[in-house]
Amino acid sequence: MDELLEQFLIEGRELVAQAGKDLSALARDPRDAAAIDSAFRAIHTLKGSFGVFALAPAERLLHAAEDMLDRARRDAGVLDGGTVAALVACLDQTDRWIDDMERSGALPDDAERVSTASTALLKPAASPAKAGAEPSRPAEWVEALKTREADLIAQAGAALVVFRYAPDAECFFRGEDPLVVAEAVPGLLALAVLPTGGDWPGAEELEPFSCFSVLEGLSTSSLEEVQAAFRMQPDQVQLARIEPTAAEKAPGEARGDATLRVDAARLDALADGLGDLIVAINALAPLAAEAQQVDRALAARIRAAQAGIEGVTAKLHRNLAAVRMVPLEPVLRRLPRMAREIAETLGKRVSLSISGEGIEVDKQVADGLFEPLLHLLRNALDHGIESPDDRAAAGKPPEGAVSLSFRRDGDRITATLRDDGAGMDPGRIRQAAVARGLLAADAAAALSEAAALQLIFLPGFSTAGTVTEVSGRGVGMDAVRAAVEKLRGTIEIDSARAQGTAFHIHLPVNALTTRLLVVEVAGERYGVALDQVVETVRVDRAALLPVGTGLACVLRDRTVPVLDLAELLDAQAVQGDHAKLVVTRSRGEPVALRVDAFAERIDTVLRPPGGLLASARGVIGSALMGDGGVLLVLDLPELAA
Amino acid sequence: MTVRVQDGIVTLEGRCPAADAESLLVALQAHPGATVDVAGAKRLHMAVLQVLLALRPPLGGIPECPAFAANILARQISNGDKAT
Repeated sequence: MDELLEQFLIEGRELVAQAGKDLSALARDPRDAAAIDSAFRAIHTLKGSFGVFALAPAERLLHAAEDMLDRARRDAGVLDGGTVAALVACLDQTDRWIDDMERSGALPDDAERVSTASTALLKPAASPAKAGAEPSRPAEWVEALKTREADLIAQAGAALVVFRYAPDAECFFRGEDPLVVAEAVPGLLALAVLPTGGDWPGAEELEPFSCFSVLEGLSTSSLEEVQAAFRMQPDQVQLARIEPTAAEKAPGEARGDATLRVDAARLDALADGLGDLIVAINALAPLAAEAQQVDRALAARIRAAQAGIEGVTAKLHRNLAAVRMVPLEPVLRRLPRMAREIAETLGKRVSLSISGEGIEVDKQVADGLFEPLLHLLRNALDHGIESPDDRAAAGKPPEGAVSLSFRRDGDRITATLRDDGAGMDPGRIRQAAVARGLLAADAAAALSEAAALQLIFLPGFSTAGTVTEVSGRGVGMDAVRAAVEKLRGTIEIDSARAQGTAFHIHLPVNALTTRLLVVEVAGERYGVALDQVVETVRVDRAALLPVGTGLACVLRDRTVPVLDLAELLDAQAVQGDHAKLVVTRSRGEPVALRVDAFAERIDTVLRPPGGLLASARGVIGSALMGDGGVLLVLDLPELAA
Repeated sequence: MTVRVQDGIVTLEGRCPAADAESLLVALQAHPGATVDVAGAKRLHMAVLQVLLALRPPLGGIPECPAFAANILARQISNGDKAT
């Protein structure tokens, strides 16, 4: 993708998110001066970003929004519930256009019409005379500067940042010196001082204490760094990135850039390499054991060397993991807009609040979280939140409340999507599951309420009487669970009739390497992911009680079904005096799997199943062992299901 | 006093604050066409610089201040054409 466009997509979404946050603050208090100011700056900059691509319909709409916020800055009475809603609609439209830009690199054909219609919502601000009087369209000044500094730009041979800083006329009275500000721009390559109105005043009309200059410049630093130099004057500066005119661009030459944007695939390659290193180190332990037989001192030295290498590798691993850590926030940016759109199609009113979005997780986890969250959100709006009339009848406020919160707990994060809707009815779910032939009536009746709720995760389940446009898209909750489990996460439901439903998704923060427990079953070694293991226990064989056709045991005052892993793997179970059990959770319920022995715990890179393994049931992947062997890693919940 | 007028030459010296803009304007109005010697100026405030750019008096020397280093501004202020 064109780098300029890529930058636009990133920044555009950041600005939409910022303005969205400010507008939701304004929805609560339309006189919040800090929010007005912040929204104004975000919209202003957003307009400039669209300006770089000369997208007139978007610029016009944002200009109208900017105008309204500018008036609100001077007169706090301008905004009320209606105008804030119009601004939100304008921002949502902008966000859709950003999506269009990403898809096709252009605005859709109806952009003109949509812009005119949306601008009309911001009516008082959109006086055409004012819009036309804007002194300089960003794209024009960028073009003029590129012509003026063509030589320097060609020499630079790398992307540059151009800025246009228009101090207000009174700035000298506040003791400001715009020249000092502009000089402080890092990597300043050129600076030009131009008359504000296009012509310098003559000696007679010159007003010496009024600033009538605009400063334009060129910098080798990043957009963020240049922006930082103008942090005190954010609304007086316009920025744009320009690409080198000369074709040759020295790769890897970061011209004074303090930050580096790296293709995620390269990081993945680095992570793979590190994984192989960890595997290679795993070979040292058996080597030390072998050396032990002939020379104890040599074995000790090998172990010391191993510990040293492991220490350094662990540090490297932590550093790499930190590089891959990204805040959840960018992934969630589109959710508030989608919530509004979905609620609108359903004729419902809803507010979505998000908290804890600053938590950082591995990129893979962040990327994989959007789809399941969106699906849960759709479900909450469609099946959870009641219609305004039903809510009124139930004594609830007409606007439904959905909250999405994130909490970090050691190596795990929990995402909770909670609605204050009708809640889930275990009885109806049992009935629906039986009606769809997913299980027998007596089996359904035997399920605990919590287990009955879990039935919604079965493929082919849907309790909605009619398939709605919103959530009836052929992807059920089974897809949500599959997506979460792919990230090695678990999902839980917690629902109370008439009070609402909460879905808790528990996910690992790091996804790079997996802690595996090696178990022995029928003479073979298998890996199980430690985050799927609730506990490992050793019980006397007599403690296993026959229940129906199977076995169970009592763990912590709870009867837990016991399955023989060997049987699940079609192998011959070995009977001993003691039973070694790995307890996991399948569909929210504990299940114990019997193994022959627990072996070591290892840190390794899980390779997704490929080829024949991909279709094998109960396999998450494979891991390469230090001795070159391959360990099959089992998916305990799936095997136990 | 950082703005001095002597023998038809206006001299800017040291750090020229915003207040010097008015002194400079008055001096240039009183002596149209006078050369402005900026070689001894360590720092020009934006207010002073924009007077020089607007009125374009002949300049003597190049100020020491950072904005005039290398390519920056020096080109604009020394070559007579107005960059607009």
